[in-house]
Amino acid sequence: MARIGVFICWCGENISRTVDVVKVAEAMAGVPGVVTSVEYKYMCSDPGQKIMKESIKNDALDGVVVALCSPLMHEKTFRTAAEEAGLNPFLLEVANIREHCSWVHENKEEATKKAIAITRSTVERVRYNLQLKNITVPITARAMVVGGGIAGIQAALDIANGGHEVVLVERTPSIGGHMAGLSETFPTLDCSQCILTPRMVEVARHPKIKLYSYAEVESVSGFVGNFEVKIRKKARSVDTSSCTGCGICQEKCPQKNIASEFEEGLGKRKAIYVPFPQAVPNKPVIDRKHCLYFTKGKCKICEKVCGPKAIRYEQEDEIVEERIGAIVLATGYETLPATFFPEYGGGRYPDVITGLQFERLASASGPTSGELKRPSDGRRPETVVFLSCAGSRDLAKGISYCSKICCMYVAKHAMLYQHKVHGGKAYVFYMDVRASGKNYDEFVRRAIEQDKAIYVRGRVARVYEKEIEGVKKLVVKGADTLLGEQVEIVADMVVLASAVKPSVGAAALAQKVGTPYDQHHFYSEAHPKLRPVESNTAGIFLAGAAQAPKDIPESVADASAAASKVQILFSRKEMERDPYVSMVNSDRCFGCFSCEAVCPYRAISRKEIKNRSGEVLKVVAEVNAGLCQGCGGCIAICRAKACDLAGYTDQQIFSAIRGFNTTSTYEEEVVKK
Amino acid sequence: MNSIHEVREEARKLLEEKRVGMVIGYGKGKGKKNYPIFITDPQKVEELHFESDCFYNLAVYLRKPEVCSHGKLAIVVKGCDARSVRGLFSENQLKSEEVVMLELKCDAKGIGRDKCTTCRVKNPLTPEEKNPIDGEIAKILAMPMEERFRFFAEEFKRCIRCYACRQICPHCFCKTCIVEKSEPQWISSTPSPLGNWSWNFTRAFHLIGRCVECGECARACPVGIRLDILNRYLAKSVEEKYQFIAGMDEKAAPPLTTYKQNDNQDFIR
Repeated sequence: MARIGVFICWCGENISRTVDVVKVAEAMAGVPGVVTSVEYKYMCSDPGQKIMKESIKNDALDGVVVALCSPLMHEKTFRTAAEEAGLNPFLLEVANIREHCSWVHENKEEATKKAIAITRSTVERVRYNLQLKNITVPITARAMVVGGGIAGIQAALDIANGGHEVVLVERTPSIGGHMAGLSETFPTLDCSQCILTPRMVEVARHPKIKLYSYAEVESVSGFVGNFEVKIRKKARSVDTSSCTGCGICQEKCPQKNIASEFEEGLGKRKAIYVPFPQAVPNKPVIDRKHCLYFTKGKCKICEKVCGPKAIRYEQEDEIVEERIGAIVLATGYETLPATFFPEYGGGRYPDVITGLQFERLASASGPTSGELKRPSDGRRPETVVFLSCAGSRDLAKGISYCSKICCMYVAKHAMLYQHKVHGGKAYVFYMDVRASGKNYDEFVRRAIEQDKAIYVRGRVARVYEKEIEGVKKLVVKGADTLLGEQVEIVADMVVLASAVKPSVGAAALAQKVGTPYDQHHFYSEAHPKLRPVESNTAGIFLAGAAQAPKDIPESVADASAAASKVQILFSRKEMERDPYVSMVNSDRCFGCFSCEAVCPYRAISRKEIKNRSGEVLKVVAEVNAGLCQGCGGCIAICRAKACDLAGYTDQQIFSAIRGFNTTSTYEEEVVKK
Repeated sequence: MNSIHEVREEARKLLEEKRVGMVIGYGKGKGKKNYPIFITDPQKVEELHFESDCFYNLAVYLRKPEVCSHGKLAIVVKGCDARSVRGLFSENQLKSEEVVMLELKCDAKGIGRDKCTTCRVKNPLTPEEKNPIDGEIAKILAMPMEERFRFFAEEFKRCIRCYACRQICPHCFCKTCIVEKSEPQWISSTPSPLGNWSWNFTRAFHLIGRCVECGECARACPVGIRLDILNRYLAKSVEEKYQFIAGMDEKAAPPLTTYKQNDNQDFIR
């Protein structure tokens, strides 16, 4: 027979105002197996905890129910107290009679009945509680950061400066991300490259950072503290150890008309190229799709001119393996291309460009050396129309969210434009201006008041080309919703603040890593408020715009937060986890491995059961407790009911449900008294 | 293989060369009935027999310990049975290198069973692309929900919980069935209306995306419950919603254990 103790809290008046706690205690005393049932004004106080602790010892309890507030509040308090009194902490359960009962009801008699039902149900559950033990897992104090933009760079530097090794994986030939391509940054207008490139160099020089550029994550297995990562080093066709980065290959390469990714298609690059002069590593890569040798079989000029003989045409992708304890996903964003907006002439008219393209036009290192020129004919644009919310907050375009950075960079663009083209006219079409951030609104006011950007509230319906005096102009037709009239602006250039979305392959990476993402493929955080840089998968952290649209300060703050979470994890040799994991009854298991297929955490492996002479009798499923997150997928799919969840076994749940509606006549009398 | 003669020859070879320990096939009984036979002696392969009313799904024997103990096995399969065997491969219950399938074309007209009139696996290796609604399913689908409920309630009322349906089914391979689970007991094991309802529907649910529509459950049922209608209807739903037919391709991912972003969800209300 069980020996269960029930401890009911008044919570001052919080519970006792609507629940007759004395009656609850009296009713519980009548439940078979309950050896003690007491109430106290503040159970969580020291004397309250003492009542429970002494009772555990004196009454030799083997199960405890504390009926009080939400387990989120005090489960840990009481489990620790129970452990101090010598009871396995997992033999204690909380019955929530505050949030689930007293706070939400008014009728005292009914609320008392419900509190009795809740507590009784918990008593029935505790009968079947198992003596569980926290799970300990060893930790490899080595981090992997995926994505070498500003978020990835910051995270890698912070973790490395904390004394831990970092593997930084970047998909493109250089780290730097989008920030490397920006002109100036809001709200201070400091040059983007000037603040970023020292960080990039620091990464390259840091003894604790191992940089894999032009590489991608191939697969991830294992679990928190113990990931096994395979990284595909894509064939660069250049031996980076002997290449000196002199640049002669790039200079001599005859394939010169390839649209440069770094210049957002506004500039050209060679087939062997360094994406931009400040690239890290400053080593070229051969674009095999365009290289004459790879496409036509002859040329090899780069090999001929290369002094240190670093060209490797025969190089193949290489897979390297790394043991990792924690992963930071900082894969960043991209923006919708202009071609996504046929109504604005995107893709049809060369002078309809995106915000990122405008950054290159305005950048001193850009294709026009910072001079503002129209991509079509190189003329100075006398009138520019900026369209904010191009795609963002537009359900017709499938994007419900605000891209967040656009209001600010549109103001910056208007300002930069006014600085470069004196007397030019900058129009901004906006839905509303969202400039919340330190010195942000002041910045926008400056664009409007000082730099005379003309803000028009409304949306643009259509942009079309019209030749005026031999010059092709863009006619922007829209509505000014404040004046309530149609507007038509003849412009030289249209800049679309096109919506931010996660970078290509974000979802595929999430699937490899085994972490959730939302319908837009942004990575999901474990809790939007309290755990913003952690994913729901233990050991996977998030930084920057891969999670949601974010500007530079936020991405950097995020990255440092994620780095600090990684270091908290690495501060111990072993980590403890809740024991709420799936268990497999190998006797019932018949090895269909449906559980293996449904497990999102790859926690199921196959175990051979052998007889004494070593013959395999059967193969059954086994749960890796370090990986399992206790989601219960395996339990739902298992037809033989061989899987069960520790701490939430079927028997516990059944018993708890049954406990709800087994009111005894004794309890009825107690309530009526 | 085109004829039983070729099957016999192949069986003889397999047994003589000791590539298999047993051949499972059909034999002719004293009367006109066909029985499953189990041959270990190469001399006896002449007993193998096949005609259109060889309705047993022999795949169910592949996992019986008495049969497994003979090592590698050869089995005579019609189209529907071949689907079962492939299903067992895909669910890790058999290794494909341990079973030799002796495939036979079946004219599938034999005994006028529903499953035969809509059969599309007459040739076990090259199934046809059709899945017409047969008369019985059409009848059920024409009923309003309440009437359907009553229909199955009436059917299941007769259930005596003999579990013949489970025993005859090659895909009911759990060592201990959910109905035999206590602590907690999920399904009442007595033949009561509620327990019968839970049992028959749970079994049907367990077969979603796995049932190969061989119809053996309905044939084995001593009280004539039309379990085949339920199972065939669910198989058809899986095909419509997930473009998946059980047992056609042992490598195909079963729909109920795979998640795709674009999975059909319009039936979730």
